[in-house]
Amino acid sequence: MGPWRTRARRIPALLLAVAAVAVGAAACSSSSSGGGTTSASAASAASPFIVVIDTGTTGPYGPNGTDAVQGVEAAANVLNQTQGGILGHKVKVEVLDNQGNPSTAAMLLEQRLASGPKPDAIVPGSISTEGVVEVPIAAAAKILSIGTPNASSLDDPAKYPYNFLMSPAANLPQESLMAYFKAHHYTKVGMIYSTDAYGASVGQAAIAAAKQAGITLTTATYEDTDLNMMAELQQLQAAHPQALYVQGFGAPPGIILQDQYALGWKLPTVGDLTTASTPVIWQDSAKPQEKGLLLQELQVAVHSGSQTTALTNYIKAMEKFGPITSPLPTTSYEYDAVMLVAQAAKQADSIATPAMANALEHLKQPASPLWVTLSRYVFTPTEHAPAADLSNWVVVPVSPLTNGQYDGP
Amino acid sequence: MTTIWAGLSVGGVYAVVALGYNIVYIGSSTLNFAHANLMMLGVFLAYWGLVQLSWKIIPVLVVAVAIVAFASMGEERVAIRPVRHIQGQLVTMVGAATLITGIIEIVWGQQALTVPSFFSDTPHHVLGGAVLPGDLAVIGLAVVLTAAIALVSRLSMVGLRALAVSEDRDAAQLRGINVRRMQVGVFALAGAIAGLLGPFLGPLTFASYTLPASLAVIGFVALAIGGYGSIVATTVGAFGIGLVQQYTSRYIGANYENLMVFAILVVVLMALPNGLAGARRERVV
Repeated sequence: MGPWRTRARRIPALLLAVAAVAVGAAACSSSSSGGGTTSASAASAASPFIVVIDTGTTGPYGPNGTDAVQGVEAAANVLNQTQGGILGHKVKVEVLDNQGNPSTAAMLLEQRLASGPKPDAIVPGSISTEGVVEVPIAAAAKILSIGTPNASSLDDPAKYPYNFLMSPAANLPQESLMAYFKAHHYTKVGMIYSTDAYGASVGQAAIAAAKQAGITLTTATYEDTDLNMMAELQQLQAAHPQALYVQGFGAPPGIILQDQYALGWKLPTVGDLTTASTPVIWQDSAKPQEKGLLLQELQVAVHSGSQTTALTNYIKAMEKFGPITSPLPTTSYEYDAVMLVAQAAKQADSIATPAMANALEHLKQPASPLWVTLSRYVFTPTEHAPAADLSNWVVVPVSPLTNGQYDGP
Repeated sequence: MTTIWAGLSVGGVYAVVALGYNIVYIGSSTLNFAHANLMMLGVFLAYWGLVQLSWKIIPVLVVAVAIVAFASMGEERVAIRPVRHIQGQLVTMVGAATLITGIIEIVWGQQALTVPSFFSDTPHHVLGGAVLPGDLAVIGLAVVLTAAIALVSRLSMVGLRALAVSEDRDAAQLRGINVRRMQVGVFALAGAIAGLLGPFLGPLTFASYTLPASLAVIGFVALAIGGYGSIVATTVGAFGIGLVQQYTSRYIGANYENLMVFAILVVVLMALPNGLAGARRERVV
């Protein structure tokens, strides 16, 4: 009797829930603005262009998520102030805090899509575990999704025709760095990298790029929990490289440089992109163990005498959130994501999802791009991760950060 | 020799972690899973005092010792004492560890922070190997603390009482030993040592919320190799682990260093089930 009574009590509640979902769905379909049917000319200028970002602004990846949200909000503010929004629609950002939990991310996005006006674009989190659950939901709802979550499964235009990745392929920065080594006549390079998933992917890409460039790359790996890197460095030292390449984030790059200094091993040393985004590196830039340290960084994170209007707008927009204490790429990819959507809408003269996706696949480079991270993003109908020119990455001496930028050469 | 110094330095870090485990184990028969987190708290307090407050080393040491000892006593009061069974204590200790890490993440964030060394940054060549003064300090501290705790536990009345509690808690209580006070005391002592070590470990490890992952598991392995409650043997085991890790990384690869450590653990425990210094006891069959 007990279970049946419980079930009997649940039936009216279930009916109510079904009715509510049906009403909600009807409301959604009637207020849809970007689901593939609304053209710019037909859309009401009063309806906003809604960008939903579903990421963990709290929880274990809170700082990543907060950076991502700030990048998106900065882009929305710049577009609204300088362009009047996207094709006359003010850009409105909605933030869903999934606390870094992929299950929560999926639930929140499903709930959001089931209520309120349909979003025009979704930024599917800031890390891959968020992306792999959010992109399929966005794809099922036929909404454009674009962001930094990077997983090979997401770069599948046949399966996810409306999803675009912001991060270039892992081989590009490695090819750029090997070109740097080659230009400096370093034919033997030592590399130390983490055994974690990201470190391993960088290591593999570097090995392939070195082979392609004709550089002999000797490698050593470390565990992220290692408290001392002397043994790994001695292993590399035995191969007599002309330069050292360091990959890592958090404490490990600091420990590596400390132990290299203790060994008295002096040679040109270059930290990778993750090393360049590690606070202990720029905070300790005056310390003797960092003397002569070089960093590979995106051009956007390096101060140059002349600054484009887009970069000035971006930095000003970011300053509104407070002092910029991390390298600019921690927020600039998300900023660019919204700017690319704006450019695609402008090129297509539509905010309909298929039209914007098609425009992204055939993006024309404007004279003054709105984006700041890569000079040019090249997507194709079969490749939704951007191809980029190797000159986007540069090698600069370590220095304190000013407004999220290293001093430059 | 450089590899040996590196191994001894890492081993010294594991030794002081295992020392904390042992002190608590001897006085309360509890394996404190949150001890590595207390050590991390000591490192962050060193950063707070030396960098954020620009204090001199002595006040930083005093404050770190007091705060971590207090935190350790708080853990004993909240997560250990009210829970009778070891299974329950496992859960509450993991809870205490998570709580400490969570508070540290909220206060200092998730980025690694540099703790300045109050020793010279200049490396020295000792016995033909390169080593930083901070590494030598950790090795020295591990040896001195081990000797001090071993002597106290064997020669002082307090130490003998603690050993009695470790051997048989009920019998010790019947003999008039205040078991509860002993338990509070060993938690306070282990916490105080964790606080004291913060400014010494921080410059080598950086202040990072992931630090317990580096300390906890291998600290327990050192404890198992040495034998629960065996102060000197545990430190010997910890130094051995450090050397094995460094030589494995140097000649085989970092992927194999922990594999090698656990292989040695298995071999040691198969040959000596109670660890290097574990006593063999008769039992009725």
